[in-house]
Amino acid sequence: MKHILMFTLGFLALGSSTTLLRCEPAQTQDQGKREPIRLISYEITQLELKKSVRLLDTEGKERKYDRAYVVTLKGTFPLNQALGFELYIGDYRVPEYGGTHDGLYFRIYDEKLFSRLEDKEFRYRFGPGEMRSLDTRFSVKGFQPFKVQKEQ
Amino acid sequence: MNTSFGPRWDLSAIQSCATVLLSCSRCCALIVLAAFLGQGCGDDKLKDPALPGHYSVVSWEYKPDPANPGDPLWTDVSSYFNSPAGGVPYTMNHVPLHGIVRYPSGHGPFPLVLIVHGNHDPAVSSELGYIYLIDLLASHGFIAVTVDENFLNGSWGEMAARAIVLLRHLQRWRTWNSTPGNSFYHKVDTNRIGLAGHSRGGEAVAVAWLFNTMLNNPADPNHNFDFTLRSLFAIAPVDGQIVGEINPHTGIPYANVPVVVQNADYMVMHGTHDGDVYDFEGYKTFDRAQPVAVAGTATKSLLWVYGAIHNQWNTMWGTADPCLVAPAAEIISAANEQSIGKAFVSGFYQMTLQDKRRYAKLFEGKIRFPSMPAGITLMTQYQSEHRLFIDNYEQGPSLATGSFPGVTNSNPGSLLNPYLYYSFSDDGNPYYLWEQTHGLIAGWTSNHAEYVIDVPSGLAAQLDSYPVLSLRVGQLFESPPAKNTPGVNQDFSVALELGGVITNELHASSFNPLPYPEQTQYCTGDDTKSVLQTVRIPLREFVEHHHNWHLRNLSKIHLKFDQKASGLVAIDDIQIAK
Repeated sequence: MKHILMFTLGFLALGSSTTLLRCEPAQTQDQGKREPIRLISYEITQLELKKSVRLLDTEGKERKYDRAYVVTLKGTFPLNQALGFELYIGDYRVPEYGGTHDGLYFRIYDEKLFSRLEDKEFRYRFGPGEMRSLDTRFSVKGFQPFKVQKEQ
Repeated sequence: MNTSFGPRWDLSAIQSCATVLLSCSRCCALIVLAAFLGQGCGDDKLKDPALPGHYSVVSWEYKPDPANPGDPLWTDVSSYFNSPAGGVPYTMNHVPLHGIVRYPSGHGPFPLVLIVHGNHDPAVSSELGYIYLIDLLASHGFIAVTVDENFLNGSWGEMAARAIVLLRHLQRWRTWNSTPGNSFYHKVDTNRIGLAGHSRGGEAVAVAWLFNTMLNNPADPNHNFDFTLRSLFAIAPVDGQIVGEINPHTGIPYANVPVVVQNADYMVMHGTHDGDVYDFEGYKTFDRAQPVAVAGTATKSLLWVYGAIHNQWNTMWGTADPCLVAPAAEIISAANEQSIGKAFVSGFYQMTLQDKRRYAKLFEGKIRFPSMPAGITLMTQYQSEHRLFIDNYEQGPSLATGSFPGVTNSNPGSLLNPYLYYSFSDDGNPYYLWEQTHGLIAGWTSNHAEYVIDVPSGLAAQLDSYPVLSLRVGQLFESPPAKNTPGVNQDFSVALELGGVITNELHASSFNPLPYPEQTQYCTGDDTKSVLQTVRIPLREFVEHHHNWHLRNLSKIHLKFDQKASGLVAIDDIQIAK
């Protein structure tokens, strides 16, 4: 695993009350604090697919893939709420990902994408907020040859 | 802040009661009068939609047989989304169509309403959080289903799949309704289908509405949709998450997104203290819905609840949001939040799927039922499907030119200052507007300030068909306070010019109050919003008791800012309507 600097966003719940009490608040200050978003490490592995996948590329041509590359990020990300946590590598917007117990993962099918993403920064946008850096760069070099896993 | 809603007497309702009384014998009239006094007439006859209806309710649940991979309640969404969160026990080519159902006893056919949750911990059974709504809907004569999409939770890029799952549920319902021997054979009114969604589910219902036609393919059993989706209810929804997702049928991002809802009634409900979707994204969906350039075919409504948070609309999501929005003391209880939700969800579907159009008064802000907790400010916006725009400010930056051909606007003496064409999307300073539309910013420090609309005879000729003057207007939050007074309602008056006659002035506050915006603080900063409210004035009220005044002579509309010494408001969508 490649270790990187922690990035911390200072989300602090502001609790000042300027208006009259109307009823008991439904939540307390402690409940409403957001964990800071941070990327601790990432890993890239190769996944042999149980069943090949056919996907359209951006030219509308169907391609068949027998394997995928799985990028696994460890860190703290807001995954279980409505607002979207959009993940980018450089200008590439990760189209979909799934959460894990300690981060998230996504798949890359087309290995040509690796050269485009090499040395580009992991970034994110949370909801309508600004684009922010996760203070690390994507590189496949440290992971080659890829560990190979079989899809369960 | 407490806003009292004093419903004005509805003249037509009184006349209707009087007609009934006169048509009865004296004895009968006494009985009817007793009923009138006891139960009310006109608006008062509308039943509180949050109270249970008269149907007895039957429970049912459907889900696929785990031992039968060919069960049609399994479906494949893997082309739309294929990255489930860890712990999800399904692969995306084999996910369950699982719904919890409440339905009325009886033969039907009954309208069908599907409710879907949004994103949350996938280990939580989020669909259980709306049992309180489906119980209520079923008692009012709806087949109501809360849909399990937990297998899509804890992930990103799944908005299309959320919508597709809803449509796949509807396919099952259509099949059951058309299969002799099925318990629901001919029991579902497939011409009256409503969708409701909370959070990401709130956007999913709009996306489902889009996909229902855009991805419809009668030759493909997985995409044979084309349902009659008549009404959509979004609870604290997100907006625009579908943008950028790849259409697996084309390999490129979806077209026609974010969604512009048309031909289906649309309603959005959101709270001032939402500590998740803090930017009120559904306001943008609302603004785009029933676009101004298209003749109206459906209503749109909005409810802005002071003190409501995000998670309390779902009974499984607890009483805390990811961020605690300040001032926390203003946050209302889950019970109060859900009571409000019940009234508006039930009222909306009764209005749109059961043709009980008089529930529009709820969305117009003209009625408040006993189940709706007192002391909670509710701001409403409502646009009828029958409307003609006078000024919608979408034709360009010239304030002088109105939307209806021949309409011109003026600011006599330049006493309105600012008098500004404005994009209502600053999301903070200076006006705190979080919309996706344009409108007028008007401020005054003289009570002679006016906004005058010159109306052509072509518009006046339409007033028989469109008997209400309607506009969206709201106080603007200012930091620091200047023209508006924090905590104090704003007001102005409206008068008509009928040829040489100027009518009496009617006060906007008589039709809907204009509360001061609730100042709120999200975790990352100020998220105060200036939210507008619809003021609807029946035009006949301008000419009451003056038989020689005729609305067909309408030549000018005056908005006179003469009720408060100073003020600052946003105005949009001035129209005549039903």
